[in-house]
Amino acid sequence: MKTIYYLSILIFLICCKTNGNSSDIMLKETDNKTEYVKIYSDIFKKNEDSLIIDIPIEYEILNNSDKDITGCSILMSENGKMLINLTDYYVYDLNNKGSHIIHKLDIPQKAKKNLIVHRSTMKISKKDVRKLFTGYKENSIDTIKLSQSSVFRKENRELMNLFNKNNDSIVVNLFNKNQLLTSFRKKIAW
Amino acid sequence: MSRTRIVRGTYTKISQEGHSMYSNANIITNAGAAITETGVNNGVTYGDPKKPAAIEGDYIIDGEWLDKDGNPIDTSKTPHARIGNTVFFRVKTRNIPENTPLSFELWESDGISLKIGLGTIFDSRMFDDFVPLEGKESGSKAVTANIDKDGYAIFSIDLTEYFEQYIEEDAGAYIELYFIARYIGHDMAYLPRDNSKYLQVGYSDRTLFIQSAVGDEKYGLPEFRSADGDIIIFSGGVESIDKLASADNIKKEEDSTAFDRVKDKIKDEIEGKIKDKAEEMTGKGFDKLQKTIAVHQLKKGKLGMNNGQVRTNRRLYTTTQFDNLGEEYTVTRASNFGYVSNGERVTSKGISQLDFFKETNVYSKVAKVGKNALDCLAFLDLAKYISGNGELPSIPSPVPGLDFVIDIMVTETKERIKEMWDEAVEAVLEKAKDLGIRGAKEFVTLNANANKQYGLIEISQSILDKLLKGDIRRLEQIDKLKISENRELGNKSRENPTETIKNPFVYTVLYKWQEDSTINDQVVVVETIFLNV
Repeated sequence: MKTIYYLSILIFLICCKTNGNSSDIMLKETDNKTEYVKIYSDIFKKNEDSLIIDIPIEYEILNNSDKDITGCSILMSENGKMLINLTDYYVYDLNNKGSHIIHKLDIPQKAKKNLIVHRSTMKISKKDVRKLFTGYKENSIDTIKLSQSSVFRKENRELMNLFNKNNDSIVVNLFNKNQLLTSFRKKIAW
Repeated sequence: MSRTRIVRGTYTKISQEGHSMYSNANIITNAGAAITETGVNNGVTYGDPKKPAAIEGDYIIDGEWLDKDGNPIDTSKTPHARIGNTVFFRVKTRNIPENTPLSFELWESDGISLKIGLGTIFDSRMFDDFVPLEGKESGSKAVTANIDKDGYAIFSIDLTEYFEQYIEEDAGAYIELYFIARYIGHDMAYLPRDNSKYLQVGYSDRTLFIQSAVGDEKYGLPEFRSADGDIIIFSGGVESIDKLASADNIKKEEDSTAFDRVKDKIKDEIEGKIKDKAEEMTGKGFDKLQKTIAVHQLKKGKLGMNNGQVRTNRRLYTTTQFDNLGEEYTVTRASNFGYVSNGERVTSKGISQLDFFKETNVYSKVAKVGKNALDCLAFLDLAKYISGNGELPSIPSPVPGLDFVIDIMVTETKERIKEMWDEAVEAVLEKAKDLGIRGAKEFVTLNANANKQYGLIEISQSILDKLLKGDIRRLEQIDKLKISENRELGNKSRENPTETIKNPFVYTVLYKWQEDSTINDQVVVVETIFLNV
């Protein structure tokens, strides 16, 4: 009986250890202080009644596991439809904006990395643009730079609620070589 | 130059003809025991021997490995070359007459060699392996090259996946290759003479592979599908205008899958059809002969039956062909099937599907996809081939480029694909692909949390061209090209604010990530290319 008792404890500890690995990696959205909201026309559909709005979102990945993160796949969806990386969205390393995050992601043990996600096909009607920015001129091709992303989201709750109806979500899979370490699926609350 | 040969056992030389020794200095013979010299007719002669031949010695000086550009291989990096590279070997000779054939056997070095300042003191080749060259099942399995007027012989070697088996068998991460060179009547030479210059060949640095649509060597192109999931296959062919234009051209074929029929015919069509047709048409209105590229589209559903019904859920086999005036002809075939209803046999056999559907949207849609599909092969300059400025080539030849594509696509890929086959996943994937881009997106999302990752990227014609030409060896290259093209489009848009820019990213590539234990790295396999038109 004693053997079974110790065995149970051992199995329990092993289980805790195994589960502990993936939960030691954390992904959370953080308040971004560097990126600005931008509005611009879709270069492939210039005459449409809508423009593109890019509201950058920042995520922090903290690797407290005993394995290095070496790769990732970041998927986004809008209303259940999959979006395509480098077409509908772009992911950058916050501290190295020239570097696109597509498949490779180096986060050694006990390190963290902040990612910035830019959407490039999210639509906003010209009517809503006029509400946001009184200086907007019809058919202007200039990119409109608005306030800081986190500030913008707080100040424009009505518009954000409209975007929230879109049911956008993000899936972040983190790998060590070919082994999936953990997977996060988060609904984007604009 | 001196040469010393040390033999641990007995050393015997036997000559069929004479055996002569000449020296400008001394000839010394020294034995620990007896010296025996026997002549059948005459004994030993001293003084005034027959003079040696007046020519200087002819011999192979050395050999060296060169890269694809003809420069000496960079031996500072390890390995020197990789699977997938083409290398050259150049031999320098002296006094060997021009056009003399030299034969070269390829060997893999596994031996031990000890060198000191004076030269090699110990050289064992007993563990070396002969590497019979691929495709040379019989004969010498060696390369033959002739000496040019400058005394050089040069030839190329394609380091195909064939060499991987030798790397796998070897203990290290690369193999070392050298040649044994021979020419008639002379000793063999190990080349390069310096064994530190043997060619180190490692695994390929390519991590992007393209899966062939059919999975055998007869069709080298990747799987193309329409946005709706119909399979599109290309082949070359020649038909007369009259024959093509006629819907009676539809053949009655035995039941088999459309895919089987296409794949078995592709190579024959490419290699033989143009030639045969040209011969047949010689002197019989050659001007009516049209060069064509056929776009075969395997559509699902919509099969006309003899009772007027339209059945669905079968594959149609639609061939869209273009003549050199840009006219387009579409012939639809299908796997015929039938059943008995109320005692009457209902069948699709004998029904011209082209006639049946030509009034419907199905037909025009097929034609649209067909014409756009041809752009996939733009890198082969097929537009020029098809339009041909209205001129026919003087010598009919197979479709340029298609053979080339077959070579580059399949050889490096097929063995690797076999190892990665996962039947259950692939079965679901096939169904998803039948649903087109929508299905592919759903599949990628469903597999998002699995170890085997799938992905999608939208690419332009120019990126596709590079991909099909074999210029892209890693997925990251596609990513970089896409980012760069995006940037250029942004600049173009700012420069011409009123101009509408056409979205060039009309191809959606479905790929999978997979661990490859052979190279201990992840590789990417292109599954399908969807035409987003």
